[in-house]
Amino acid sequence: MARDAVAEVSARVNAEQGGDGLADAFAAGADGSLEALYRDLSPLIYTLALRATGNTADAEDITQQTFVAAWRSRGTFDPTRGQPRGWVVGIARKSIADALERRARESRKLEAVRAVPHDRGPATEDVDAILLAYEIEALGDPRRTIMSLAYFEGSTHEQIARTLDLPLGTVKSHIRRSLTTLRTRLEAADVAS
Amino acid sequence: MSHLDDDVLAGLAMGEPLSVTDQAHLDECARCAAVARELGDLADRAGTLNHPGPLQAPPPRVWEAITAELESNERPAVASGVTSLSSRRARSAWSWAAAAAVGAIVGGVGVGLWMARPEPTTVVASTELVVLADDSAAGTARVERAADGSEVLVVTTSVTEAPGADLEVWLIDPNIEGMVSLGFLTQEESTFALPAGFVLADFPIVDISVEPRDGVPTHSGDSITRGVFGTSA
Repeated sequence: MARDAVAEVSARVNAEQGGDGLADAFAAGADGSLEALYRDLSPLIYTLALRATGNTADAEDITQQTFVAAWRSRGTFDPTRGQPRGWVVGIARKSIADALERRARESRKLEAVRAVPHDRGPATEDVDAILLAYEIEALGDPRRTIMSLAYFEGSTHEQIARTLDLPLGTVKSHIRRSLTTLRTRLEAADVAS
Repeated sequence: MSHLDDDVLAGLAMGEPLSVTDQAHLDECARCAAVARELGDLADRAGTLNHPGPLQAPPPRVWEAITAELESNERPAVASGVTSLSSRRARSAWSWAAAAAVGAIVGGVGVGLWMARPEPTTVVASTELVVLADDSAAGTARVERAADGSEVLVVTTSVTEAPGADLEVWLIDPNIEGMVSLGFLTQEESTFALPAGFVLADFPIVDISVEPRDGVPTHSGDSITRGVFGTSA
């Protein structure tokens, strides 16, 4: 993998992290902080909602509700615990679950009078996969590249070491650290919901 | 005993062997076993993952709807420099927010039939007013009936000014669809005549809005203060 591709991805991921100030600015309700948060996270939230509901109108509503709720409850966000991503994803999960529940209730009501095609149901695996892939991207390089090779492309640790010209021990150590980080970040998104 | 290092547990999830002492700890320790299970699940999931493809950005109208919704009752919340939907086009978002606000405060509404007053005027309904932006107290509104049966709405509020705009008093129906304008708020206690036969129960929400001086006769969507009468006269 080319080195400049690595640099490009790092720059992008740093931009996605929203810089250091965003968590504090958002918690303090600073002007423009909601907009910055929205710019960073709305593609993630919208894609999660779209996969879960399979419907752009629902996904737009969920995205709207999520950011409105995030702004209104920003007092409960603790910036000392890191970036607001996990916390916002938690709000989105709740909003997605509510939308699916509402839809299930409506379709049960309809089924009483006429046959309705069954809903696909909550596509939880999709949501988890998107979130995991996003968090792998957000690890930043070299971990993002190493994890992508290891998991998306099924490369062995030895192949990755050769491809990236890194010692095998370094590759393994990056994977260990990445798994630990991913566990913490995905947990943050679960706890918040 | 100290717990296993996260690196060791992550290594286990990658299929690396544990030392005998670490394995002994893991067998005994619920916390480490739980972390090991989570890391193992994570590695399994990552291994079966097809890259889900690029993320999709929502259409621009979603951000516009967010600013419109927040602007309708939390003006300081909206980021400066953001171009929002004209509130007149944001009617549905405004209605939604208004309905939510009504739900939030309807529990605190007091209605009284205050017979103790010596005047021949009876208060037939009253409600607290709250500032929508922060739920703080903004004053009261009451409907008084004179001895001749005529009714007036009396609004007593400390919020009487908006820079470069006027404050307009409205009564709104529970569905936030129909509304009547009673006029402009000009002082801390303003009195507005209700037409004979006006049914307060049909329009129980007292709403004070900021109206730009643009000659547009409809509600601007920018409500600042609200209260709800629980029952009618």
